Amino acid sequence: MTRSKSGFTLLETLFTVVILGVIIVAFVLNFSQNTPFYHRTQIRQGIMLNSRMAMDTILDRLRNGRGRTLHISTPASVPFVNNSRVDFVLQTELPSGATAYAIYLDPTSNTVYTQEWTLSPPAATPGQQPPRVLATGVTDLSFTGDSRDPAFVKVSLRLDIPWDGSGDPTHVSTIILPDEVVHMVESP
Amino acid sequence: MELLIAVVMVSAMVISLALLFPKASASITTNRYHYVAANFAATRIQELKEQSYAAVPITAAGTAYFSSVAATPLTGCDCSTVNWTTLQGAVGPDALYTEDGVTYTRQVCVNLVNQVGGTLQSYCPNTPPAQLTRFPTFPNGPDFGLKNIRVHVSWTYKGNAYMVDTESQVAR
Repeated sequence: MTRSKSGFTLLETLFTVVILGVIIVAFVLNFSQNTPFYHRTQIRQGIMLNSRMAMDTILDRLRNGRGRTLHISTPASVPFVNNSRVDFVLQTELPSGATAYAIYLDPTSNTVYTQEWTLSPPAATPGQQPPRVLATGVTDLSFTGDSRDPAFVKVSLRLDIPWDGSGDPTHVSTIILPDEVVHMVESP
Repeated sequence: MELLIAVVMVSAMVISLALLFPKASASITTNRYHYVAANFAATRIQELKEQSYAAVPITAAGTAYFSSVAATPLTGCDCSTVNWTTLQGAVGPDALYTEDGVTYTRQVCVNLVNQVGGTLQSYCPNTPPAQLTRFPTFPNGPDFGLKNIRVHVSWTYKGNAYMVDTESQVAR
């Protein structure tokens, strides 16, 4: 009886398995390295977009506010974030019927809210309307007035968004939009 | 003998790869920071271009950061030659972004331009040039309906300073 020479030896099979294993491990490592990268890119795009949208909305509303009615205050919630609330009367009524407006930071939830005061009609319930979320992940919002001209207001905004739940302070994307100046309506 | 040669060849490959790895890794890291900075700059350019022409704020004609304001008022205030360090001291940064322990500082410079013979000629705001008195008034400088936006992003990594500049125009 002759022994067939076709097929693979044990050594050849082992080599193949080892090479395949190395390739698979390399793929898995590459994938696991790229997933956080894509996630971080997503966070980066989000933080840039959200900070700009929030800042533009704040500036747009303040531009339509009467400078002399502006009241900058520090909400009583802990932790204190100085000058993180503004209340003002609008020069032109909003489509929602709002005649007065407030923008403030809730530091416990790191959320910026806007709130309208609306006449009735069009609002079903006149007066103070429920607050609306403008931006989340906000750790600082500050308004600075100008004693020489109450129509000038400086707005600063800071957003901190963690990439993961590790709690590592280096695993956070931070954006700061400092001192954006807006000129409110100068009314007598 | 064949096995020995194969082992030597594989060892040589592994050693060369190991030597190349730190350089490749550093290059990848630097490229990543450039990518983030370019992205940060492009975002601002896009935001400004989405605004109306009038809403894009022109950088004030400061002699501290524009080298050619005093010498040639007609063609001064060129954002492509602005001194970014002095400009930051004068008007502050536009935005700061921190990721991976690296802080990117973004600055914006906008100046009035006009297409003259295929090139962009820069003008200062609020300095009506005597040569153009045939135009009735220049309440905001010689505005030909074209603004040049230049965004500068700078950062430091391991003691080395890096920067990315992006430029675009917005028309009325």
